[in-house]
Amino acid sequence: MSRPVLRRPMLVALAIALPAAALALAPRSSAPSVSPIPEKAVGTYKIDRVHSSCQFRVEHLAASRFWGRFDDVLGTMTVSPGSLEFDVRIPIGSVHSGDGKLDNHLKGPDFFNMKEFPEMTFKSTNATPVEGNIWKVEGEITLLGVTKPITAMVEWIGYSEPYGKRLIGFEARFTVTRSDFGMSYQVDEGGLGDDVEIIVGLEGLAS
Amino acid sequence: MSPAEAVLEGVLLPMAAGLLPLAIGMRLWRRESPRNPSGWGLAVAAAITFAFALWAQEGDKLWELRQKWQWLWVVGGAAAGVAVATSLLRHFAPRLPAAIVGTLLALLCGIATVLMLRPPGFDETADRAVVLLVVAGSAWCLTWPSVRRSDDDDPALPGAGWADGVAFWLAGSGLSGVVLVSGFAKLAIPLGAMAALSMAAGVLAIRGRRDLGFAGLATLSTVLASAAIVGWAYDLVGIPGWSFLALAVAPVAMRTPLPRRFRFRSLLRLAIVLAVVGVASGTAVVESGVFDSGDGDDGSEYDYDYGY
Repeated sequence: MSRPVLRRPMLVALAIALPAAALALAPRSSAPSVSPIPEKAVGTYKIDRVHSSCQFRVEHLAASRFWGRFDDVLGTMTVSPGSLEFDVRIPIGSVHSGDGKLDNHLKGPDFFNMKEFPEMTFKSTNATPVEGNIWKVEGEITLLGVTKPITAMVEWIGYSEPYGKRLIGFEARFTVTRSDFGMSYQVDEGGLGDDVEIIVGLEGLAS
Repeated sequence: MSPAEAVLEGVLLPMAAGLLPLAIGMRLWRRESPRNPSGWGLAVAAAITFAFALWAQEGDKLWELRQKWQWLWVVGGAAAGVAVATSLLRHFAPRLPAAIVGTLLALLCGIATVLMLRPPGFDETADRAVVLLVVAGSAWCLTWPSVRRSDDDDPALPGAGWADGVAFWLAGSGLSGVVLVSGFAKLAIPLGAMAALSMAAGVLAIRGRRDLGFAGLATLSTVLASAAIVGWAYDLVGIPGWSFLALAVAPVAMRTPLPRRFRFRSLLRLAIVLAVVGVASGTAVVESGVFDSGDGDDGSEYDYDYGY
């Protein structure tokens, strides 16, 4: 009499477990899960210089990483269904390191050469969603009169409509090799790294 | 890279690159100085040293001439070319009046500079006239006695080679320091190399009481004046323009007319050069605020070292 009593619960358990296992082992779809930017966010946004910034980080004397920033970030961002466009300008005169003498040195011909090249710019050429809120944005950066293609990973932060305004935010990260643009001061000497990591935080206000 | 390596690569190696043409031009294997030397060797050496030193800073990107100040090496080469051509003219057409040769040399150096060098803020006609006046004027004042000497072997004419070398060393070193505190290290180091070459030429000129020659002086003067104007154009720390101009023309003091009864005329002239360099450099350092402390946002007293 014990065998039939034991067999039924086992059959029920198998009936539940086998389909569950089949579901678990079934191959998943290869398409990434993308969080779409809402349709109401479509439009052109002027970059809000107060709430936007550009920070850069470079190795210093092989001992640490030095951070600096540009206080002014200007330009526009355009959100279209399935696409993004960025047209960003950064005045070199807004560079800020926390030390006035270093700021002047950064603005001079050893680094950004502000008197000849008062701005550096980025213009996107293509943007594709990658996964979640992350976009791969390709474009061209112009620095010291030299234009080079770069690819930035841009995170869409959010969209909101406070007090009748329409705001959107992004954060971009990419790395440039400064000697490619002719900024070679202290590269060979090992005083400063050649690769500079850049983080740009953008908040846009709809026009 | 250690400071010693930086000095070796940035100053000594470029200077050494210019020593061979300098020695050949000065005919150092002879005890006696060549008669009426044109100084073509120093002209070529100055152009090579300056270009080498700039290349040591910038690498091969220097040849792309993407930034306006990078044309300085072209100006140096053009000045040397003009100076060597003038020395050939003087050799093959000795009857040509010295006044014409000297003026032509100075004018062509000035015109070459105006055409090739367009630093920011020097776009107006008046600005370019200043450039022409400074470059051509200082070249003319410095080379005139050497060009005239080809007509007249009057030993009372000023222009002892060793003293001219020291004068350019003082002015070049002073300008190098001023340019450095203005935040332009990439120009300061080649100027240091030029100053070292000038001192080397002065030392070599002691043997046989050699003259540096009008071609060499014109090239040194053109490079010094052009570099001073570039330093002025790119300055962001508030160094007065007259500091740069004073350093550009300081070696002209070596042509100060002094009565023959003064026994140590070269030393006296060098003292004038030293005074001009000292006042100009000192003013520049004070105005630049390089020794001011507490520039940090938090009021910290850490001072930025322009080395990095």
